[in-house]
Amino acid sequence: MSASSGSMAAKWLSVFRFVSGFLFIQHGMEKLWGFAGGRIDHDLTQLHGWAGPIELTGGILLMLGLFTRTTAFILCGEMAVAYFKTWAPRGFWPTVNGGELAVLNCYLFLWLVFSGGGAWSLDTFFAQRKKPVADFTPEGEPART
Amino acid sequence: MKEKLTQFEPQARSVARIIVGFLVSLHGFRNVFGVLQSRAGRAGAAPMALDAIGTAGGYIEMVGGILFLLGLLTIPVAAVLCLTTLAAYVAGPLSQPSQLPIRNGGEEAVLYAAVMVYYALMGGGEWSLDRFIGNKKLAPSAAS
Repeated sequence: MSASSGSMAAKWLSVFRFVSGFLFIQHGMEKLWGFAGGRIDHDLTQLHGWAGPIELTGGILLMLGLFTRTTAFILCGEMAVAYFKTWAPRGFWPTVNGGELAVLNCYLFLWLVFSGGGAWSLDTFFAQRKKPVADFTPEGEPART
Repeated sequence: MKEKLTQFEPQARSVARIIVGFLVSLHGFRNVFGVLQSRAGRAGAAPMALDAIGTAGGYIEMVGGILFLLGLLTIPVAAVLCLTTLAAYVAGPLSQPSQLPIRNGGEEAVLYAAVMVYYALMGGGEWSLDRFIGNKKLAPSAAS
């Protein structure tokens, strides 16, 4: 059972996607310019230095609901890398090693790859704009709308 | 491609549900039995919201998390856990000096509450005991 494009669940999916992106950009902003007193780390020669730009860009795209599935896939991978590099060495349980948020985000983004952006997203907006052109009258002219 | 991915959204939703249920139950175990205390984390981080609701909330998290992991009674459990995590946000992070979830320990609680609403609306997904039992009720003789 999937949410139809106009249902309440499809709209809430967009709300959730927006909230998720909104929380995520804050992590990126922390790393890029120390937003909310975070530790600045954008050393692009290191792997962990790429986290900031990826999180900020990905979070913004998620908030807009643009290229949702691709962005979510990349962010899911980023969270997986972050978890195994940073948090997993500190202990087995995610709630113990501090990586709970990374695990949670990883699987929620994986779900977003399959669910898409929801009703209130630029992806859906552009997809719906494309549809009328495909409705051709039998004579081959585009339908007048 | 998008249609193919959307076709498998219920399965992906189940996978995420298993992980979310597992993590929530871990918080429950921590609140009830005092095990699995946090040893590492972000430096100077405020205590997490889900640890702020004491033993009663811990039982709800523990039982609810396990039921959610199994996908049993998913919709009512999702509703209860949504309210629990919101209560946890009020109990802990709201009294922290910072209003940002990233600083006041409430980030996980916000994410859990938000995703629980979706599960309450849509159910647990394909790989859940709810579906298993439902399938058996509807078609007990069908080969599956």
